[in-house]
Amino acid sequence: MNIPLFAILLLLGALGHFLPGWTRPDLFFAVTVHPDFRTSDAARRILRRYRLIVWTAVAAALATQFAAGTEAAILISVAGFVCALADAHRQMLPHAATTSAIVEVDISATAEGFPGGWLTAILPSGSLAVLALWVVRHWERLPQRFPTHWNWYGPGRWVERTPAAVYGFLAMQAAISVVLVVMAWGILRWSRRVVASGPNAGVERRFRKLNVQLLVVMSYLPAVQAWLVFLRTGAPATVWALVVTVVAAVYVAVLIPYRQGGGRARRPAPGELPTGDRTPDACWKWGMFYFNPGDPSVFIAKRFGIGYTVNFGNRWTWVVLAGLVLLKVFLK
Amino acid sequence: MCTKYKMTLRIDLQSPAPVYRQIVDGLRILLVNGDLRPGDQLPPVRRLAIDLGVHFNTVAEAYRTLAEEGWVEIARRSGAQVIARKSPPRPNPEAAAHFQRRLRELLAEMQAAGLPRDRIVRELRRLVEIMEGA
Repeated sequence: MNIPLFAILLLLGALGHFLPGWTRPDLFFAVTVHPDFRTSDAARRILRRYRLIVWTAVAAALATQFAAGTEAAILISVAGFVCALADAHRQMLPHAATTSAIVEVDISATAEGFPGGWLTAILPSGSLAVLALWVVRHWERLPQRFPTHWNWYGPGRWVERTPAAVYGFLAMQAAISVVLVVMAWGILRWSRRVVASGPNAGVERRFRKLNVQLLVVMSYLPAVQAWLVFLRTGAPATVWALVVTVVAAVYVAVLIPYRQGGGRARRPAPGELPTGDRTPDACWKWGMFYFNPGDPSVFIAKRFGIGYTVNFGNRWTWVVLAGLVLLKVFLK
Repeated sequence: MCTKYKMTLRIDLQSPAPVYRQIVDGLRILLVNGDLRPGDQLPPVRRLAIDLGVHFNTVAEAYRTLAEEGWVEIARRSGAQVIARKSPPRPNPEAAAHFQRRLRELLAEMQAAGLPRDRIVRELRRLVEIMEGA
């Protein structure tokens, strides 16, 4: 029995089980509804069917792990989750509520910046630049072979000490760090603020700030790994990966009660229309992919899941994605 | 932004009035009432467009209209800033008649929509007080 895989599959199943309750109160399977809809018979029936598909996929993944291998088992589990969500989203669409067409914007709101300022955000990539300079002067002190990839059990891939390998590795680590910081910046500047006033505006702001903090913290991992590898401090990089994973898990756990920024959303008064997240239901493909060419936002809070996703209808999203792919190919 | 309290801009995406016109009207109310004062910065075009969920050009067009009316000055780097507006010229009799007619049409629309007469009068008085205090 592969105990870590067993634990991962059960965790995926549990996540899938509870995710429908971790969204805004007026969203259900990525469709805008009145908050009372969640307690209706139709909602219960759709939820039951969704959970049945999720756990069936987990059971199938567990049963086939010996024959199909680890990757296939996880793939089966994830595919089951995607199918369950797509099916529930399709069933929910006829129950969609008419949303309010009124939009309020707080024009006196100040611009939000990085927690800790720009210095906190550029420190990881800056430290990698310093490390590159150090490498030039202390080439002989670098290990003959060094790891460039890690998994649960330690280093997964090793390369010989050559200029291409050393600087390629540093460039890759810096690129990952910069991408995470750009994503954090994007959440601050290129995502929509749904509510302008009331207690929920504060909840939304804190939710955004926590997401940004998480990405900035994550951006330190590539830098720490590179420093540990080249300075041969004896502290295994895997431990740091574990530390960052635990920090990320804690952040995600803290984010859950925020319900995607809708934690204190005021219930619509009788006769009042729900607001949702002010994106059209029809633009959420399978309940998880947002495609809206008419929306200038690049980042958008997920309707199903925790954190943010991108607007695939925005051309800048594709420019950034293409840039990432090219970078990956170039550095390989 | 110099102001200490929240100022909200409200638009109706289903209204027959174009969004850029609603932005202009909403901001003009804040400008006329003195909520937005000379030196205040309007939100960047990109920020306001993302929050409203409309195209950048819609917001840029609204800011240009306000600039043409003399309320704001648009600079490439610093964005749109409220400026001290020169006293507008006296409207010609035709324009004055046009505004009177619009006001009467609006009052008739309010009454037709079922708003009690005393509430309309109260609201008009409140607006006059704001206008006199600005």
